[in-house]
Order: sequence, then structure tokens, then C-alpha cells
Amino acid sequence: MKYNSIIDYSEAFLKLFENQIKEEIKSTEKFNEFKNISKELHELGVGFTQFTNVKISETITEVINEYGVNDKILLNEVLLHVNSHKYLKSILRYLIFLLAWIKLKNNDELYKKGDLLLKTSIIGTIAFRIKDLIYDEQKALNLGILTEVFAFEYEKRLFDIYGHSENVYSLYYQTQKKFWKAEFKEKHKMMQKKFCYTTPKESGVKAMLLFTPVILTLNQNSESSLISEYESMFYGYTSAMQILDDIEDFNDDITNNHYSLPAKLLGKAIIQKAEKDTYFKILIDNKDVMRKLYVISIDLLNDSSKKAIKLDDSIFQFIIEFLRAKIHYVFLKRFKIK
Amino acid sequence: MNNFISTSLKQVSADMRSKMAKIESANFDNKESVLDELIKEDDIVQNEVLVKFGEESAWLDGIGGWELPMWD
Repeated sequence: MKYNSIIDYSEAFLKLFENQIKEEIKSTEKFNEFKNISKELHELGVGFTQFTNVKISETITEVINEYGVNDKILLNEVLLHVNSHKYLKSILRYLIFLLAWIKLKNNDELYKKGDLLLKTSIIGTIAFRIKDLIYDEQKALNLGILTEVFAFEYEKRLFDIYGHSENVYSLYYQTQKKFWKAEFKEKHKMMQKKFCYTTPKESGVKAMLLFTPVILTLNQNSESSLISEYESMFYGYTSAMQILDDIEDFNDDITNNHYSLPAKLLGKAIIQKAEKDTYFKILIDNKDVMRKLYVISIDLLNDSSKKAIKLDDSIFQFIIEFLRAKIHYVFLKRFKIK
Repeated sequence: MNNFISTSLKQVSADMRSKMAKIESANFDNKESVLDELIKEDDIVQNEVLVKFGEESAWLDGIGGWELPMWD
């Protein structure tokens, strides 16, 4: 079976959960309890029924209309750039877990605003996706103003959800500063045609957009003291994810002078000798480099996993193990690193 | 209820972690066969994680598969 939508994915998540506990629950009484858990999981947002009214195109239209523009061609152009892109898809996948995480953090007030948080995250994702297209690939240049509008709207809506307080502003701008520091450094390295990251974990900071709701939720739950531990756990997870991304984007990245970790391990000499559009093949054919990338990815996840256990965070433990399974599968079965 | 879900999720995670540890402790020549053995087992690894979230993860191919029909 192919999973074609985020709904299918959440169903699979539920099924995974059900399969695991089915064996342990034999009696009728226990089975009823199990059915209640399934219901509860659906209500958690895992089934996602509560949030199916959030649609990407409607969210884009809503923002554009708010700024007095009604333009279907513009909408279609934005959709063309973002709708089928893995970046948006992986973020939507992550958002399921974020909503479940908020629910498990017993923040019902915030959970009720789940649809707003989804829309806000979609708006932010679009802003940053188009920004990357413009800066990294010199595409979507005519949509430049849209990145500004969407980035502003993302920020405003995030404050509407989490509250307009000095504390929220302060945390938000601290995270933004870290993000822009990483972005500036990365783009500057691209200008200089140098390697973008000093350490593998640095690349994970680019996923700050996904982590901001976690920080603001911890703050709202009076758990600010845990932010730095969560941050360290999260960047291990996102940087492992980024390694897969860097492998997949290797052709485009080299063409655009974006020298990521795979490029660093492969070495400039090999890359400079290669013909355009062969970079990806050269990378995956190099078993030594691919093995190193695999080991680094698993090491990053091991570190994150330990931190998630220490934090006693069930959702993050779960998504880290999901990614670990995926990394094993992709490197061993698809890339054949043996 | 939230506590029950959390506990169950942690159990699932621990189970996945111990299965993956078998791959991680194997040497490079044997890793794939350990993975194959795990896939053969009729359990969580085969049914939900490795096959469906590994093989079908179309985003890695940069092609369709996650077209989000329910979202637009």
C-alpha cells in the first residue's frame, strides 16, 4: 500500500500503535480499553480528523486576500513551487507529531488552536521554501515580496497563538537569531564556494521553524528550563534528517555551490573532476563516504535518543526511532552501502 | 489516558530501538542480512516502519507519492 496523504500517514501511525498493543491485550475488558485508546489517538490529532479543514491552497488564499490581492495565477504559482515539495511534506508529517506532543503535554488550550498552528506553520514553511528557491537556486524570483509577507504573517500568527508578551517575543527572537546566524553563515560559505557546515549538527539548526512551537509550548507550560536539552535533542534528529536531504539534493547543491557534509567527505578534488549531473551517482557509488554518512546519521540519532529518554518524552522517542529505522532501510537497501 | 499513551509509545520506541540495535551491532558485511531477518519477522518492523516508511518514502526520490490530496 502506498501512503498518499498525511491522513494515510496518521492512519499508519495509529495502526503501528494498535499492532504493538494488540498482542498484549487479549481480554474483552482490555480490548474495550484498547478501542478507547484508538479513539483517543484519533482525537489526539493522530487521526487528524479535527484538522482536515486546514488546506494548503486555502491557507495561501487567506493570506493573499488579507493583503487585498485576489489572484489565482499567483496562488497556482506558489502551489507549483511548494505543494509537492518534500520540504513541505516532511513538515506536515512532523506537525502530526507536534500536535500529539502538545496534547500529551496536557496543554488543551493550545491543542484547541491546533488548526491555527498548522496554518501558521504552513505559512512559515512557504515563506522559507520560497526564500531558499530565490537565494539557492535563483528560482521564483518574482515571488520575493511573498516571502516577506508570509514571514511577517507567520510571526504575527505565532504571537496570536502563544500570546503577545515580552517573554514570548524574547524567546522567539532568540530562536530567530540562531536561525539567521546559521543561514547567513551557510549563504556566505556558498558565496565563497566553501563547505557550509563545520560540524554535522550545525545543519540541523536550519529546521528552527519546526522547533519554535516546541520552545514556545515549553515556555507556556512553565518548562523553560528544559529548552536547551530539547534543543540539543532536536538538532541531532534534524541534522540526521538533513544528511538524507543533502544526499538527495547533491546534484543541485553542487551546481549551486552548496557544499554540504557529503561534499566535504567526498572531497573537492573528486567533485571538480566530475561532470555536471553525475555528482549524485559518484556520491552513492562511493561506499566509503556513504558508510561514513550512515554512521554519522546513526550516531546523531543515538545521541538524540538518549536525550529524549532522559527527558522522558514519548513522542520524540518515537519519531527518532522512526527516522532511525528509515535511515537503516535507505542506506542498506536503497544505497546498498554493503 | 495521556499517561497510558505515553507509556505505550515509549514501549514501542524501546522495542524499535532494540531491533535496530541488532543492525547497529552487526559488522558492515552482515548489516543488510540482519535487516532482512527483521523484515521477515511479522512484526512492527516489517509492517509499518521499514517497508512502508522506508521503501515508499517518495520524498527521498524527489518524486510524487505524497501529493496531499486531502489538503487541497
